[in-house]
Amino acid sequence: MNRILKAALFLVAIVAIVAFVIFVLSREPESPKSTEEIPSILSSGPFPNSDSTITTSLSDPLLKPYQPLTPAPDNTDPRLTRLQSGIVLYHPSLKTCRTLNQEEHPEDDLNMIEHLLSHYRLAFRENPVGINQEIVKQLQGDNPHNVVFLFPGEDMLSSDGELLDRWGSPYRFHAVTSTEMEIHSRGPDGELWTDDDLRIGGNHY
Amino acid sequence: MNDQSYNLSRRSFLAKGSCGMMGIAPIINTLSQLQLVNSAAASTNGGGSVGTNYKALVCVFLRGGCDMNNVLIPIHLDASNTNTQAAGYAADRATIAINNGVNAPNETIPLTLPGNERFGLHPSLVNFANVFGDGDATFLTNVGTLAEPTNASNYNNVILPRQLYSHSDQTTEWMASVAEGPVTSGWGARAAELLNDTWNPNSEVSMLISAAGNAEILGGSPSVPQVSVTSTGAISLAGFSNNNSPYGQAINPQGNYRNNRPGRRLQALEEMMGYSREHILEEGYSTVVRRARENEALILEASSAAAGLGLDVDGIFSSFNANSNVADELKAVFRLIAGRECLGNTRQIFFVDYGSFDFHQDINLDMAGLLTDLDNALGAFNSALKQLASADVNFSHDMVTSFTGSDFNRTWTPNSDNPDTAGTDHAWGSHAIIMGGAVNGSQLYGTFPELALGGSSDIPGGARGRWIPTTSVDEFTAILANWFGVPPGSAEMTTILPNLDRFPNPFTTPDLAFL
Repeated sequence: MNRILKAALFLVAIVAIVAFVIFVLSREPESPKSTEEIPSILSSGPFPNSDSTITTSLSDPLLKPYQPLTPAPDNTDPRLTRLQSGIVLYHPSLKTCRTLNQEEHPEDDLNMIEHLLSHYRLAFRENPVGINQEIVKQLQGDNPHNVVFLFPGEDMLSSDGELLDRWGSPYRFHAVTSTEMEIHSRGPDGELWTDDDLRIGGNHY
Repeated sequence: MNDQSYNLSRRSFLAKGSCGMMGIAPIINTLSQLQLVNSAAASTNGGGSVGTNYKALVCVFLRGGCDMNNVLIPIHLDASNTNTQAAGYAADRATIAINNGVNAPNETIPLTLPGNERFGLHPSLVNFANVFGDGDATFLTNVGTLAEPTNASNYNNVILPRQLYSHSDQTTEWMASVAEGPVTSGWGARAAELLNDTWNPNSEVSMLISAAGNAEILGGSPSVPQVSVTSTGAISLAGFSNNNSPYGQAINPQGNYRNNRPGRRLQALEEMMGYSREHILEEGYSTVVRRARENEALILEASSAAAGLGLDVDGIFSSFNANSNVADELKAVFRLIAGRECLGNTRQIFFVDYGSFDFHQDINLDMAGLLTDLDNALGAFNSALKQLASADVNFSHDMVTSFTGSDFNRTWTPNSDNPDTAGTDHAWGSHAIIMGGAVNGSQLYGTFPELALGGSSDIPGGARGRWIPTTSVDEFTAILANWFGVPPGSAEMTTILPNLDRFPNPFTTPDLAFL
């Protein structure tokens, strides 16, 4: 009988430990990321990739975490403005775009583009795909919810629709995973693969 | 002293384990020990269980997205021997073009092909050119991930593969043969899950073996876990493999426990691992350790079988100067094929990889070297298999089919005008190599793309030349799976390739009759 009691106590202890581990692992991380919520208007349709992780670049000092958003009907989400044309403006992106290519440090340009991509990921849980002009199109509203994340200035796009760096050369985008994109500027000399190139993300594949 | 010193032979392992059982184990453990012994003994005595009923698929994955546009090249030899796309190749690829006879004397290796097709191979592929010429290899052209049939006309109205141009996603989609949505298993694993019991009733080791670490194509089967091996054979349990580890001095070259402290410790450990445990976690741990040691013994035994057939495997590979990682991996695979009776599987899927071929820059500088390595490895592997067919009456060259995959092809145009630094970027439809005695070789399959910006093969509005695949990975895989033993139209085929019915029947398409 004593042996059975010991076995029962041992079993209870194991169950308690497992329950504790599951509880700890399932807790939401207490980082700013936990306060981010997908705008309700964007969650009305199926996401192309339901298992991806939303990632943002909150570590950069230029980039502030999103403010907590109280769930609200589409037309009252303060971050969004739906135009009659069906286009949806995403104001945090608009704010970011205002200073794109105008910060003191060129490296900040790349970080801000990554920030725009993080906005896109917030909505669609993955990056836009393709080469420069295709990514630009998706950021400009050619996406399942017609949300505009990129509001380029007049001198930021080439005649082919490519997003240009502050020196007038198109950025190069290199998709490593669905949520990890290397962004590459040719730098002041306008040539790829020279010492003045600027790159972030993707471990420089 | 190298790891070979610790090659615990299967017989020695069984003998020592049995002795330990008789000396120490309580009665409650006898059953499990006997099961272990019986299982292993069945393998050891299982010669002939595989016999002549054997097939193996070998996936050679070219990591990073290999630029196959510079592997199979349209060429111009003279006015009557020219490919109409040769001039476009020279003009568009410009700084990264291989001289194909248009602007400079041809440097490619011309292939002898039916009809008026004029193609050459990258000059690094000397051995593969011979394999191709012997009828043992082919290319399936312009194959890639597709969610449904796609062309330039319907491009904007069809489901496209998820995350085109992303390394990890396209690799996953290739290996899963599912181009949309997340998947949790490779197609090889699904085949094993469904058919392993049928194919391999006497299996001693998983039919899914990777010589390159965990492979997505082999991953996800609940009942048939993939097994990893090194280029020299089995992966030892941590602590078992070198002199400085706790059990590094435990086994003598004959496979017996040494009469020293490590030897006695290892003997005791393995005896303890043979005990049955009441606690499920303890039993699980013991099972994992026991299985790993069993696999190690089996794979080491299998790996040594080639020598017993009089084959100098190292010599064969050395004669091809095949000394790269992919060569070592293929060498390990070859040894396991030669020792297939020890593994007890009539169907086996192997995985090796090489790369990275992700040459966004310096493609002129670096790609030739990788292709040379690949060429030497494929040449050596094919030669070794032919020699095995001569040495082993139960083996024939057509029992093994190798095939390549890659994340994607690369852009038609380079990303720089500087030949010293130029590279190419991520694209889509590619060419796959299929090699083996069962291959209907010396010709091309699939539909070769129109190599032109804005042409019928290019994605609409594309500026760099990314070919829309004309053959899906699903169709490609279906042909391989069917050769392997999965019946067309069967429920198993549908489970392995859930989107296959979206595409034309690959089994009645002449362009896909490469096996």
